Amino acid sequence: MMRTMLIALVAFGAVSTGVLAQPKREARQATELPCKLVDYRIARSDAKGPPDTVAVLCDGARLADFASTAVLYKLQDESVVYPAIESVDVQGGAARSGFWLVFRFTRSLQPGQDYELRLSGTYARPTDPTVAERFSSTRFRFSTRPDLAVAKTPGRADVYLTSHFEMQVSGAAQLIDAANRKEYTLEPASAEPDDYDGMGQILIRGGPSSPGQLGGKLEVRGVTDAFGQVPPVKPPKPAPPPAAPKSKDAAAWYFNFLHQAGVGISPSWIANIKAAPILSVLPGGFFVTPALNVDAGHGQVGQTRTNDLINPKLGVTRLVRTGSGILEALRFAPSFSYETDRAGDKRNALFDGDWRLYVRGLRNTQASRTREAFQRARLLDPKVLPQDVPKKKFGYDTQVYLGTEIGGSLTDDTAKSSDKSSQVVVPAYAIRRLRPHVSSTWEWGSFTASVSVYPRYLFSPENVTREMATPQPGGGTKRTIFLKTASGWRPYGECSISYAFDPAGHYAVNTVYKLGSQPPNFDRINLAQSGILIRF
Amino acid sequence: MSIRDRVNLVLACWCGADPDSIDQAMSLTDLWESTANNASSPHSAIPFQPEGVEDLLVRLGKEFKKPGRVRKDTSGLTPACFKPNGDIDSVNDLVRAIVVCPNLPPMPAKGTA
Repeated sequence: MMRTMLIALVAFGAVSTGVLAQPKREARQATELPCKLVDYRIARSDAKGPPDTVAVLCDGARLADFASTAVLYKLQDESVVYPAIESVDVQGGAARSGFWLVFRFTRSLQPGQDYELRLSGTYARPTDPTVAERFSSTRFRFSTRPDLAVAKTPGRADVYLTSHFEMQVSGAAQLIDAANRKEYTLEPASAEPDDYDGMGQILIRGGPSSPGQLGGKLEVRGVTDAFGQVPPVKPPKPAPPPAAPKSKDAAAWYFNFLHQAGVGISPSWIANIKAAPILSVLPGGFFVTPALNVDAGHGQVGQTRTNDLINPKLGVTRLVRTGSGILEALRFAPSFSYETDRAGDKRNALFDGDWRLYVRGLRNTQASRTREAFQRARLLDPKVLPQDVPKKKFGYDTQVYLGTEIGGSLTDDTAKSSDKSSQVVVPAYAIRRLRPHVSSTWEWGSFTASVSVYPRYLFSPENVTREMATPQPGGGTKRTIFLKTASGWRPYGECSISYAFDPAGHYAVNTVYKLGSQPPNFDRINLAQSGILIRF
Repeated sequence: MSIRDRVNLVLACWCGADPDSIDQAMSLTDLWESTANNASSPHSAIPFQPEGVEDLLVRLGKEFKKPGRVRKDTSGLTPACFKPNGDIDSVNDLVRAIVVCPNLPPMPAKGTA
């Protein structure tokens, strides 16, 4: 009885295994590999042997499976030399290391030689690993000529050494800059020997902060390539200047000097300056964010004065993602700021506690919708380029903030009237403000309409100054300055509409309407401005 | 696990994409926007710059400080290193940037000391 059951169980197991382990179906038509072969490494399968391995980066989606016949040819003056040196079959785990396709040959590669690798076989996508897709013959050329070179670190200005070869870096390895008589310590970028991304990449400890600081004559000590040779070092190439940021918000440094003149009014100027570099990451996920905002001018149009705010800040910021729900994230940005004006009549020290709320459904910009359309089109046709997808016409973005400004004026200050004919002492006062803020933008083709509302509430009365014209006995008028207090709701709002000339939206004409009052002096503004807007 | 695999796992948690289906040539902006409504990690209201990048940098910092043989000091990377102000654009660029970040001393993983 037991024996019968055992046989039945084994038979059932065999059947189930057969059912579950379906043989791979092979697609009929040959396709192109779903990735570009863009980078390579020359490595050794045996640490003491000559190089015999070529790893090629499959720059696209990860392959679920890969099996190929790889045929290796020598190149002479960029022409293939027949017959082939060697043909190997690779498959399974040995054929891949993450996104790298790995080809191990039985014959070693020769130094200073150009090669062509011809591949043909099958691959499987992670979305459907049961289908083995044939790919049409693919060629990849590489070289074993020494290529150790100084390169700029991605994202930063400092430099490192890069090569396609596996490198042996001793503990005392150095980069010698003969022209500047400097020596730098070298270390491998990765301690993992099979990590092809780190292979051949060498860090320069305490190295120069830009490629231009290295001389033209460089050499390495304590570094040997996969052929056991000390490679020459190519000096850095001059890097192109980085592209300018596209908007004031994206810019870390922004300077805009404006001049304003007209019939019957004296010429005036306005400086709009922003400096807001994000310096570094702190523990706990905070970023240091010093900032300087200047929006100050000289002169006035009729009875309306120009903006007058100088506001340096030192703060930190941290994004907290909720992971679900309507509220997708919160951004806390506490900072200490100093609020003053051009004349220095106001000297306020503030703690600025700002929260931004990221609410689902409030952001769907033209750019986001266009990118989404591009991704959808690319799923249907992988050859589609971003420029093939028409730009979406409509988009919107609404930003919601909660904020508080708490502090006080530092001293009793003396404020003078604009014609310097009268003055008043402004006693020190406390500042306790609630500052919610909503900003909304709607895009339609080349038109953009924006509304920003700051319904600021002042819990404590703040001392401000006002001016009035006082007729003089001998004729004419003088400006008389006097003290007032501002408290309660002090809203401020702006709405603007702009029309962009170019498809990217760099150049536009715009009209802005401003209404309300802003700190530190809460002068009431009610004006419209028109001009040319340039965003880079 | 290679640096590239670790970066892809961080990206998967960051935007909600399947780590095996992340195209290495894809721009990080496109990856962020195309996964905006992902159920496990929704971020349709969060722009890529600077908020999305800040979140990514915090996650990368945590991942590469974990005990192991390969540990990296990613604190030199800031949102300004990424597009539009910097030259880190694609997943590949990010992997290269992490590879050449300064090494931190190896720390034995728990259970392997």
